[in-house]
Amino acid sequence: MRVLVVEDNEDTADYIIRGLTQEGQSVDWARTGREGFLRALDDDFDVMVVDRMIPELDGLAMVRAIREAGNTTPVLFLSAMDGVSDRVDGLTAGGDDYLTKPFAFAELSARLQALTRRPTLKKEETELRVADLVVDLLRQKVSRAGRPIELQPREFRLLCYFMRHTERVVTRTMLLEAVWEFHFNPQTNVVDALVSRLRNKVDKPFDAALIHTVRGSGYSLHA
Amino acid sequence: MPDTPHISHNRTGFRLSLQYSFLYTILVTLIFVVAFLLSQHELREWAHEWMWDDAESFVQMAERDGSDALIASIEALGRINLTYDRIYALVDADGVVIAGNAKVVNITPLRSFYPIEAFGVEPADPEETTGYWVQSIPINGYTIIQGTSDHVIYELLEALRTSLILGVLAFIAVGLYLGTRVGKLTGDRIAAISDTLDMAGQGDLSSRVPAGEGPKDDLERVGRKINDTLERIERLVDVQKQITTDIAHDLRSPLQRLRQRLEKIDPDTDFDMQRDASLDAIDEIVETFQSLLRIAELERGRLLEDHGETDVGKVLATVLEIYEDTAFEAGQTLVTGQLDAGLPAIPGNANLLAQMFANLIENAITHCPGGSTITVSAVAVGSGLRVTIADNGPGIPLAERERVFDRFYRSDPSRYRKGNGLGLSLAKAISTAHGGDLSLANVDTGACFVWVWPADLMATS
Repeated sequence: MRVLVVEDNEDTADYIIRGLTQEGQSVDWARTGREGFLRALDDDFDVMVVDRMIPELDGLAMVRAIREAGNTTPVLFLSAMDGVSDRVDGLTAGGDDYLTKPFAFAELSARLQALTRRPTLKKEETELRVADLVVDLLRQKVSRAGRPIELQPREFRLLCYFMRHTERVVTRTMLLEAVWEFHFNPQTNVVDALVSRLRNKVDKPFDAALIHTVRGSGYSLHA
Repeated sequence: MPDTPHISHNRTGFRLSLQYSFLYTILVTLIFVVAFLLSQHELREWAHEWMWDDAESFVQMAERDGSDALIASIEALGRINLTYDRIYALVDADGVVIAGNAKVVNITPLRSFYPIEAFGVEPADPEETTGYWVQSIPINGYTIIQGTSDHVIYELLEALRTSLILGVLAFIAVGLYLGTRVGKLTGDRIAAISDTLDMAGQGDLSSRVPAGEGPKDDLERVGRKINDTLERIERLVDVQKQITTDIAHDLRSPLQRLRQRLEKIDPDTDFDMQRDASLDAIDEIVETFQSLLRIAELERGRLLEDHGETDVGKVLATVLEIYEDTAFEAGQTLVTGQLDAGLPAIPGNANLLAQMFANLIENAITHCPGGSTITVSAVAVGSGLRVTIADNGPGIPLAERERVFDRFYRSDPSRYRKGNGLGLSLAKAISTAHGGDLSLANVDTGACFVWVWPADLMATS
């Protein structure tokens, strides 16, 4: 995965680049909006991490310009601005995700992974399958090892999200945003409670667990 | 407050009336000058016509009665008319005065006006006479010279001057009196506004323009606008002060705990656990910080400009769905009571409204023991709506009910509970920013929060 990081703060840039490199990604670094714009158009990146406050051309304007030039590379905005409308501004400008500083590297990494999962042009998706767990999307039925599992609508949506992001880490906020399309900060462990109920139905009666806790970041569904 | 007295000269009313008086004086003076010049001209014409009439009479007399009668007549006229400022002289061919009141006649060449010395007689009022308008006609070998003094001009001038001065003085007096009266009426009110702004400028934002018993005019409107603006500025400054104070005081203790934790960190024992605990502490601090900023942003009240309509019923249903398992894990039941299908969509931000409902439900979950029931209902009331979040937990003591929405307020300081003490403050701020009203209902068992939208719903329905 090739990542372009557009960030003028050296410490933050170093933190991101070091982390992504350790994960085995190939990372390019641009310090200004102008440089970022030129690099984005010059090269073919899988995803871009763009700070909103960068010199010469601010992040919003840079992404807008890139989009106008026809480039559709997914963009994740990094920002210290967390006003009510800042997030919406970022997404309207052509960003695909928005992460507020300070952030955990695991959160950034998980979100980048989710962004690079390019929508493959496959025929109508009717079934999700991981190991012996099968989700029938047409009839909204779930079964594991041939045994049917009854799920609440919220549990069904949660499971579908896990299945679509199998092998990857999904964080609690990603789940909250993706499954319920809300962006708010719960003080209690709502997501843990939801996942725990889902586990009771999907994992507990069976030998092998599919939903794994990733310490310090979230969950991952894999065989 | 500045101690500069407000001198009456600075007042608009007074200054304006003074200016009007001045302009009036100039105008009236101009009119009087023109009137004087015109009158002078007319008088002179009139004097000459009069003298021509007399001259005609003399000619007729000389033809009818002869020169002796003419001489006698002029002699008589001269004696009578000296006090009336008229000159008569009958002069022979050698320039010698034969009859009349003039002593000398030094009028060659003949002009239409001569100074008083030209005739060697004392006019009735020498102070107010400069000379005579003169004309002459030849009769029977003599010349009759007639003159009329310009004394009458002085009389005219004097009359005009007197009326001018009296008029202007009267006008100025009346104008100043009225100007001062009017000026005092508006001046006092303007001074009050000015004083208020001075005080506000020097930092006393609680100062207000006194609500006048005066007329409901433009000044009253300006005063009201200034008061509204000051009110707003004061509130904004209060919000800023509050956030500064909150951050300074309430982030210190968690930062201190974090510092201690980091100082004592030991790479050999439980390093991972200690590091995770430190990171959690940082997340909590950031969370508190963001809540404070969000509350401040909402209280500044400039956010709900371009948000679309939000389906409150849908938001509430989703939040209930999210929290059902959390309540279950805590041994409680989250029940959806009455949930009207036709709840109105309201202008607002779905994420914020979700946060508000989430905070209220979390508050109930956090404060209720296992086995409690939390019931959430939403009903349409007229064109508005009412949402209640009620629990059958321990409730909130009467004495503390007023403070539940205060920042960092915790009902039970002795026991540690998760949360930063900002949940209800944030909910309140979201409610207010949406034009709703969040309150704690007076119930006997448990706690019951009521959110109504719009805020004056109960008053109107």
